[in-house]
Amino acid sequence: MSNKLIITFFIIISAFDMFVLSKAMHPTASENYINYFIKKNISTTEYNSRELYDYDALREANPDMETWRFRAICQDKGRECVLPHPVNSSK
Amino acid sequence: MKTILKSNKILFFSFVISALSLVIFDLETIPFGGLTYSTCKWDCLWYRDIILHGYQSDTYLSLRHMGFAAWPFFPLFPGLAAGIRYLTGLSAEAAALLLNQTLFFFLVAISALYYRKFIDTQKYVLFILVLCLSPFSLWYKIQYTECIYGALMVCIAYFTRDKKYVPLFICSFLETLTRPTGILLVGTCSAYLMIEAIRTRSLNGFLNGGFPIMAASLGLSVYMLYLYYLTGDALAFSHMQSSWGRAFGFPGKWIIDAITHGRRINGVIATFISMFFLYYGFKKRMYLETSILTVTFLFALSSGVLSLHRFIMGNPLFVMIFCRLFDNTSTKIKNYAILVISILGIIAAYMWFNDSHYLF
Repeated sequence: MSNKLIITFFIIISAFDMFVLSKAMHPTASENYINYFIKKNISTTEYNSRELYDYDALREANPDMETWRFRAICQDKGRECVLPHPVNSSK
Repeated sequence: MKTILKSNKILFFSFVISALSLVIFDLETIPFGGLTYSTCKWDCLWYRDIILHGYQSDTYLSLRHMGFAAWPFFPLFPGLAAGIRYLTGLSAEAAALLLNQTLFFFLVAISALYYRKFIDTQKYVLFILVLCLSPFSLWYKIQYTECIYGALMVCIAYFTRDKKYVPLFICSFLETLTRPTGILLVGTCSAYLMIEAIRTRSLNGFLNGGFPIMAASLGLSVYMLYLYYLTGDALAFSHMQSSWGRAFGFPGKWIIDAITHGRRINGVIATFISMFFLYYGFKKRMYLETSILTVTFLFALSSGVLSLHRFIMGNPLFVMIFCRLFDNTSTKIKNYAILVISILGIIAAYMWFNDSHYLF
């Protein structure tokens, strides 16, 4: 390719990369997500309990909760994959 | 017909051996519940999730997958598989398998052509046999990204050596949409081209050599921008790795950690085997291939020994270095080696179908 064309592409892609990097430096995810995944200043248990609203009450009311799948990832064939999303989760 | 077959002997042979190895592999799945069910394990379930539902904006809330999301799995492979599923009406697992097993023919052919042109003009038959029948080929035949990543990797190395810039840019862009390590692989090839251009004092060569890394950064940036608008975190693919127990650290730390805790010993063994072959690759003057593998090795090892064997041994460039072990051996030893490797390949497949934790 000609030098002019390469330099033009180079400038356009660099500008786009800079734009994406600026977005990467300012995440807009939930506070709980930022604390756990980015700042890493809370424990997994804290992250989980904040993410799942009213975790203990939900578990007490539903002893089979450990087998629930709130999002669709199936490991067992023939099992219902998509189950209700809990209301009032932190996101 | 005879003339065509003779001139395309390498392609014909690679096609026949690829087909034979796929038939053996696919027949092995019969006692384990069928082809699509028995091959789809571990990461495949995440790809299945992306194919069926796309990327979700939240992390999973089921207790088994609390805090997990599919964001570290890059979009090219599940995207193509979703396209095949839409066109054919197959299940998600079957569409991903069809994609990989079709690409397997291309991977073997392009790797064989590369091996004959740049490594050894004579012994490509041995290379094709090892690539298709050995345990290293396991991950190409299941619903993992090894096949598409490996095929693009060999294309990138081929076009780098041949200085075919436009296809190199396209492959570089696609490679970074396949896996995060794609940018490192392209960076290594760019450095190779730029160093060569400095030696020959070619400005055009230098600029052309630098452009693949720009094309690759474009692929990565596109996915990062998508993640930003989906999740609010452009680096979500990297941050999510902590859910899999991966965190950056000095490579040696993870080896010591695995040995002292007595876990992931298969990863430690794979690390030492990989080190030997990296040394051997440089000794055999396979600089570009070994440099790509070394960068992949160091990057993978900096976040743990988990799956290291797959990242290194499930790589066609590793198989090329491996085949150089037989440079000066007799035909009899080569035949025995191919027999042993084929048996090990069948055993590895059985281990996979039996949910072995040693291979994922």
